[in-house]
Amino acid sequence: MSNAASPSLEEIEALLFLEADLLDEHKLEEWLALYTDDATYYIPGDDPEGDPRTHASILSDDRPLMEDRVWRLRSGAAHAQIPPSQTCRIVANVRLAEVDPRGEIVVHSRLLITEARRGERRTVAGRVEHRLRRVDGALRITHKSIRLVDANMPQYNLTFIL
Amino acid sequence: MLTASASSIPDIGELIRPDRIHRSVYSDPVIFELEMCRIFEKTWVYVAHESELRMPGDYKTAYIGLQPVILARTEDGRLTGLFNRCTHRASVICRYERGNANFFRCPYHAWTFKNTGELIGVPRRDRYPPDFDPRDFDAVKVPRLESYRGFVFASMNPEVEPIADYLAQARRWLDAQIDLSIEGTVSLSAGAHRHTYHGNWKLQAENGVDGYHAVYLHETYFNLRKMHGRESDRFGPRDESLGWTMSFDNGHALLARQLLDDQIATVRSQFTDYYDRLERLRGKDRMRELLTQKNLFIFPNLYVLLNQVRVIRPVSPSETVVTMYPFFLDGAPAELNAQRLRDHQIGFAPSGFVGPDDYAAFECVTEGLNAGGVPWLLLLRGIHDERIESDGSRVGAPSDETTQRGIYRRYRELMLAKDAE
Repeated sequence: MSNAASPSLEEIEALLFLEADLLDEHKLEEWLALYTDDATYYIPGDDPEGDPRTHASILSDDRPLMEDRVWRLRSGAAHAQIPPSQTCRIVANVRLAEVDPRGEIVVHSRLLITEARRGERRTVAGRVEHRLRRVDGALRITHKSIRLVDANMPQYNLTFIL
Repeated sequence: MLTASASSIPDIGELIRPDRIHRSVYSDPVIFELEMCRIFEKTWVYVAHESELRMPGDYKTAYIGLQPVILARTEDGRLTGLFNRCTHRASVICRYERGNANFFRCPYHAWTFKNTGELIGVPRRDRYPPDFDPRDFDAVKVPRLESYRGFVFASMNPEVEPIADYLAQARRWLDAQIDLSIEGTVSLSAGAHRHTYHGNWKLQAENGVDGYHAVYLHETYFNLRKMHGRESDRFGPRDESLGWTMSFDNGHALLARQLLDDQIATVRSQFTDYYDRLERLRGKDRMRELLTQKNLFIFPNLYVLLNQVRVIRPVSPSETVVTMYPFFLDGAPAELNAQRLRDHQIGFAPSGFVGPDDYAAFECVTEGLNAGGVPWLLLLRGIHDERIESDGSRVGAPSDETTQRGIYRRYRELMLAKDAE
């Protein structure tokens, strides 16, 4: 990339891998700090192209709702996370898809999470899009969406942060 | 029909008592099998909403208990219900949850059926006997199919009463959910949230009208509302004097929480024009009922609760699938419906702040049920103070177990019915 604002693939991967580490380590406040103040986080439901204003999604958060989510998990009273899920994430196939006209860097990757909780192991897998922006020189996430491979199937307790 | 021998059939009458339920009712495979024939094959079972089947050819697949069915809108605009089962060698003939098609082709030997059920294609017919008549092998129709204000119910029981009668005293409360729409219809156009949990289907049946658990199990949700100053809108207060539980004939049940006047004012102030028009249409008293928080259970598998239609699908004694369809009010402002969807989603999506905690609790119950040394689950809250109305409904305080007792009264009757085989 010749654009000076464009990060290298190495810098992008470092951010995505850091996000995975923070979530696996339950460092949720530090995870939130990777996101811009106007960030959104979206996991579509049974219609991947559905408009979240008119169609049920698995998750459709703005920044305040992301903060609520972290608050709830931290409160110690989110029963679906007592005890909390232990996770191990593989972030792979990372590609810089485009730099859009607003200067947002669009990154595609694949996510595979092994989750363990109360005697059971499960996997969660999907295609991820991150939109990144520089804030005071640092690369930050302004949007993340995950298209789960099984979004139209019955889901089991997705109350940990994916 | 039953694989279990008669001697191994448990004494249901003893296991379901007025104030307690035996743990085996939630885990015994024989009881589960009995439920499928004595309940799910006897009553009406909710299968679809007409808004999911608007155009000719629209179809969706669903279940009556464990039995796969297809609901479809035929060319003449009518609804049909077919068993999703090829009349030849049993394969399902439709593999999608929904779609639009005028015929269904069995994947195995390509027998093809119109959505009316008519068998229109049998490949290489020449090797069937000369008297083979395809009309004898049309897809089999579900014995009864009726719609009540868009809610489509099916029944395996040809003798079942009309759906409007089956709804009994619950009917006016179902009406109240629908009449919040100025057009008097709702739409399930927003897709669905689908959940699965390790636990018996009745745990979900009991839970949606349980007014006792919410402030404890869902504490984080209520705290978040309080933090954002939103505790006052739409959700009624948890005050025991401002609401009630009710059980109706046929096992239906209601948990209602009244909104205070200033809460109603807050709700209305956001969409003044809509609610004013609605009040002129429905009347002042009815308006209060429309704005009451209502969790309505239609026995055995349907909830119309807050902003959602919730469907319970038993899979095995210890596996259940729940589908929640957020519903929109036809004729309401887009922003009002968007708000309903948002509210629903924050609570009840698989990532939500309410529903997943219920399922976590059900799984704790499922695990605890293994403690055979403690056989009973208690349903006696408020039993000393239950009021019987002139129409036969029973009423208790919002946190009473009036509703669960009502569900199990009907459950017990059906499970003990002599003509059940």
